[in-house]
Amino acid sequence: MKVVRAMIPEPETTSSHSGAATFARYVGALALIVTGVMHLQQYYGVYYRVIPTIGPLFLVNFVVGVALGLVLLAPLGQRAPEVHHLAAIGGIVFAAGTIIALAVSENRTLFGFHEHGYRAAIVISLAAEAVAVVSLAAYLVASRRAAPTPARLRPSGASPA
Amino acid sequence: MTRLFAALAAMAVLATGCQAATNELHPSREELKAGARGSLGQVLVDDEGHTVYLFEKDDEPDESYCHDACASVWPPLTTSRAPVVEAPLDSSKVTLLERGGGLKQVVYAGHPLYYYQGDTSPKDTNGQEKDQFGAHWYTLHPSGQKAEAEGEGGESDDS
Repeated sequence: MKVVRAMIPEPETTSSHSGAATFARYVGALALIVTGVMHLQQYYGVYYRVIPTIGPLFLVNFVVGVALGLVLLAPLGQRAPEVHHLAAIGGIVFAAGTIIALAVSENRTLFGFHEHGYRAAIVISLAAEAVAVVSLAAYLVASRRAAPTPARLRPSGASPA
Repeated sequence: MTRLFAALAAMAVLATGCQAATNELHPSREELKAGARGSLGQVLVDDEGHTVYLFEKDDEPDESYCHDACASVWPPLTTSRAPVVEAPLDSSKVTLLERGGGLKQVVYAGHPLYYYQGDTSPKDTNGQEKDQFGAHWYTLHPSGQKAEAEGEGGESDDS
C-alpha cells in the first residue's frame, strides 16, 4: 500500500497559536519600526548626526529597524515562515543590542559618547525595544507550537486511535 | 544561541573599552589656555587643544540651559578642582558651576563652557556660530567675549 504522509492539524490549538503568533509578529514589527523612527528623529531633530560613529549608527538603526519591521509585516507566501523566523531572530538581536548600547552609553561611554538622561525620546525607544524583544520571542514560540510536528503527521490511510 | 551571547558580550567589551571623547565622566583638574584658530584669532582651548564654546542661552553664570540631548551633543567642560589657567587668560574670570551628579562645570567670564561633539580633533571649530538647542554657540576670546570671524557677519546653518 502506498503511504502518503499528510498533515492532520489539530484545529483549535493550532489556529489559536497561529493567531497569537501573527499578532505577536505584527506587534514586534511595529515596535521595531518605532525604534528606528525614534533614532531617525534623534539623528535629525537633536543633531546626533554630528556625533562621530554614533550619528551614523543612529541612521543604521533606522534603516535596519524599519527594514526588519517591513519584512515581518510582509505577506511572503510560502517562504513566509522561514523569512519571518529569521527576521524575528534578527529583530530580537537588534532590539536587545540597542538596549545594551544605550545602557553602556548612559553609564559609561560608547565609542567615546556619553548619553545624558532618560528624556521622552529615550523612554519611548526603550519601551519599543523591550516590546520588540518580548513580542518577537513570543512569536517564535507561538509559531513553533502552531507548526505541524512529526507527532501530527500520520499516514493518510491510518485511522486515528 | 551561544554565538548570539558571544556577539553581545564582544559588543559590550568593545563599547566599554573605547576612549571617552569628553571629560565629564572622569573629570580631572582641567587646564585652560588660548589657542590660535585662523580668522577667529586666539580662543579658549583645553590642555589638549580642544576648542571650547559658550552657549548664548546661558545668560547666568550659575545656570546652564544645556541638558539631556543638548549635553550629549555639547558635553560640558567639567573639572575636579579649579582649573589651571594660562596667560593671557585671567584666572579671576574662572568660576565653577554645579551640575547634577556632583559634576562641576568650568565657567569663564560668566559663560559655562562646552565641547562640541562635531569637533573630532584639536583645532577644530566646527561648532562656531551653530544655531542649536535654541541659541547660538561661539568660541571665546581670552577677554571672555564671544569670538566671531573677521569679515564674516553671516550665520552658519545648523548642520
